[in-house]
This record gives sequence, structure tokens and C-alpha cells, in this order.
Amino acid sequence: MGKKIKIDIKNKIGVTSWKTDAHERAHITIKEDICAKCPHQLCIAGCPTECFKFYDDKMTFQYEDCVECGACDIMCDQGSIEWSNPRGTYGVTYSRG
Amino acid sequence: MSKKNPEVIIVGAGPAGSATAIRLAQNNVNVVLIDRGMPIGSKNISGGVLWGNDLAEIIPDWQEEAPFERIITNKKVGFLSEEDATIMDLHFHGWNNKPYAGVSVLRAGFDEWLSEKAAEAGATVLDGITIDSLIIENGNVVGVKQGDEELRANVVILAEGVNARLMLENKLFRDPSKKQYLRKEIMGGYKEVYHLEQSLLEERFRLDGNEGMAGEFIIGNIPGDVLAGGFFYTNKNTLSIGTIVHLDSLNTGDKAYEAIEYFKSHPYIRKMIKGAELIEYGSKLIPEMGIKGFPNFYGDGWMVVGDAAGFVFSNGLLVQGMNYAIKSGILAADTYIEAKRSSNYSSSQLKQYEKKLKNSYILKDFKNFSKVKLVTKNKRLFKTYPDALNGGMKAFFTETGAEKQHLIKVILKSFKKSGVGLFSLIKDGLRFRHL
Repeated sequence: MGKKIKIDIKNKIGVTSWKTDAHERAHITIKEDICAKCPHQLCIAGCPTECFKFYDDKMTFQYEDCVECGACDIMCDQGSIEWSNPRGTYGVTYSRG
Repeated sequence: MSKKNPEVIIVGAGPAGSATAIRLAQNNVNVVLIDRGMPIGSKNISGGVLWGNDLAEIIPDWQEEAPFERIITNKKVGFLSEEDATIMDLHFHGWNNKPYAGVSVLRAGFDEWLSEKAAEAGATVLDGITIDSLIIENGNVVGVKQGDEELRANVVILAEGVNARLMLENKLFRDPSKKQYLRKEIMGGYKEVYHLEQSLLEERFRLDGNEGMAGEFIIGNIPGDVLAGGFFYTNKNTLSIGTIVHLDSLNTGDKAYEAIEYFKSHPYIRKMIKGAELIEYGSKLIPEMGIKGFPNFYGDGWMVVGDAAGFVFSNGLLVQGMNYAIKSGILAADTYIEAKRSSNYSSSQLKQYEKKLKNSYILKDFKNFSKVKLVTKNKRLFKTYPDALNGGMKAFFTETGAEKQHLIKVILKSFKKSGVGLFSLIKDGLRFRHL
């Protein structure tokens, strides 16, 4: 196999549009204590926009870049993720789709 | 929300929800179609090619007015190894004639149009509303809630897509202990849309007029255990390009979104997007639960259609969802119309929906291809065979000045060299009958 490719996904998602809701209205929340003990952190592997980051034994979730696919909820089998759709009109807004 | 109760509430205005609404409204059913996107279509994404002609059942001349992108006349299916490719090139000129075999679509515009057709037919279409929950009384689904507001109806149709929050929240699965879909039941789709000058795109893909090309590939150049396929579809002046990743092949440290970078880095694909400008990136899940993993399709006061029901068909060569979505929507609508005659909206009547699904191509396809995962989840298909096939083909077609050997001998030698035992090779060969 060839060379490992690394990309900056945050740069790529600059072309996609969002209507971002207030922080207290975040549509996904995680339970940090569960994530800290998680044996696999596969949420990171499945997320298309790198909303999950694990630094210094702490998982963070950035709801602003979420495209609402639901992959994290399937990757997580630890019960950490509370997933709901954003309020109507908020969240990712595809113009092509 | 309106004070007067409709007969049917549909949650989600993708092809499944809008098709249901159109069929119901055409039969004078008072129906409300609710979507969380504003405008409708702005939450919707897929590959995407709409295959088949199911739309004609509700919009006979849809080809004349639907905002589709291109008529698929050329399909490529193949294996990509590190830098080589062996591809089957299907060019069916007759696919240009109506009814088209398939058309490429960009869902934001296409789904908005379909929801407008629902409104034209008489449905009440509400955009920008996220339904928070179902109202369930004595086991019957009797309506939906958003905040403090309630809307009640005889039947609620769930057309909320693959990430079916209402289905999940209310555990509408066959196995009531199931809380979420499993990694092996769902794939991740990752897609980019590139802008290309129309003339350049038509020249690059050898397209006459509004002809289009579709490509689906096994990606053999991704390191590690990640199993992924790639696709591209030509639109009018854009190119959709993406990957489908088996979520159960991901290990800690992998990034599913990187698969598309390997796909694009392959010389065969790289040339397609040369000079093109990325204009959108997005992602959706793709159900792959198969006949045993399906949710319940109906219950007291509810039915489920489209992706939310798991209706995506994929065998590696064909990937289809929107046609199943439209067809299932039409069947759910017909089930309601029949139920209305006896005013019975309980599961004893709505079970007719499952009967219709079984009699249609939908459940027949999933039944006939129930073992297809033996092929599509086979590691060797991604990690060994692309190299072996391309290696063999290259050896056969490369003139080295040495004595020529028969094709079959060269190919077999290459497969043997790849380290696959004869037994595995025969076993996998036999499995291909499931495609």
C-alpha cells in the first residue's frame, strides 16, 4: 500500500453551509466521563467532519461542523451520545445535496 | 401547525415522503408533509442516481419537468489497485430513450421540486419544522409533536431517512431490545461535488448533449482494514464523487473521511477532477441491514417508507435507494387509501403494506439477494483481488518479449501470487453468484 494520506478536513468543509444554532441548543451532547473510559473512541473514526477530538484524556464535540449524518451514534456503543435533530431550519444546509 | 387535523402526517420530504404525499393527495386524502429543512431539500443528500421509472406512477411525464442532471448512458464498474485499474465499460445508447434507465440528480433541487409537486397535488407542505416526538396513546401512533404543539392524524408515515430518530426513539424494530443500528448494518457515505465548465465536463467524459456517466469501483489502495467503494456521477456542470465505507471495518485511529482522498488520488480518478473546483462536501448513512435487520414496516397508526425502512439495495455493482423510496411511498399511500374504506388504521389493516412490499420488487430484491453481504463485506474483494486482477491483466497485456501465455493462466498466477489459497479462491468465486 502507498503512502498514508492526511488531509485537513476542516479546510474542506469550508465549502459547505450551515445555519448554526446557539451553543445551549447543540443537537448532540456527549458524556465526557464515559468517553474518557471508552476503549475505542470509534466516533472519531466515523465522523465525516471531525467533530470529535480526544486531547488530554478528554473528548470534545463540536456541534457546529456536524452534517447530521448520525454515524457517531452508530459508532458509539458506550451510551455516551445524546443525538437529536437540530431545530427546524438550523444545521447543515446543502445547496447541491 | 394547522388546527384542523389531517388524515395523514408524513415526516420527511425526501423522495419517499413526497411520493407518499403525492399519491395520497391525488386520491383526495388530506395530508400534511413536514420537513425540517428550509428550503426543503437542503437536508437531503445522496450519490446520486435515480434508477428506474417508479416516479411515472405518480408523475407520468416526470422526465419533462424534473430537475434531473443527466441521463445515464455509460456506466463503469471496476477494480482500482494502487495505481492500476480494470474496468468494465458499459455503454448503452438506448438508455438515452424514455423511460430512462437512470438519471443523475442533486438532491437539494430535485427533492424541493418533488415536494412542490406534492403541494400542487393538494398536500399541505410545511418546511423548517423538526418533529420532536410521536404521540402514542394505548400503543397507537396518533400524531406528532413539535415543542408544545401537537398535530394528530389517522396515520403517521415515517419518511425521516436513514438516521431515523423517531424510529430509534420509539424502538420500532422487530427486536424491541434494540436501541440503535449496529455498525455492520449501516455504511457511511461521503461525497464531494466539483464544478467543471460544462463543455470541459462533456469533453472529459465523452458526453453528447445531456448524456451522463456513472462509475462504481472497489477501492484497493486504502491502507489498513478500511473497506470502501467509490463512485462518481456526472451532473450538468458538476461532478459528484464519493465513497461508501463499511463502518464495521473502521478501527481506532482510522478516519472514514480519508477514504475519498485515496479514491481521488488514484490516477484513473485524479484525471477526472483535474482543475475542478470543490463546491460542496457532505455525508449520509446508507442502510445495509438486509432482510433480517429491517425494522417493523408498520404498526398501529404508522408505516415507514424509504431509507428509514432500510430500503437501499447494494450489491457492489448496483446501488439504488431513491427508486425503492418512491415505490415504498406509493405502496404505503395505497395501503392508507384501502384502510380508509374501513376506517381501520390498526396494524391488523396496515399489515397490507408489508404484503404489498412483498409482492413488489422491493422485498423480492432483498430476499433474492439476502446473501449478498458474503461478497460485499469480503475483505479479499477490497484488499487482495484488486491487486491480483490488475496484476494479472497488466501481465497479460504488457509485451515483454517473453513467450506469451494464455489469459486464464496469467490471471490465475497473479491470484496465486496474491497469497489467497485455492480453497478461498473457489469459495469466493462461488460467492459471486450472490451478486
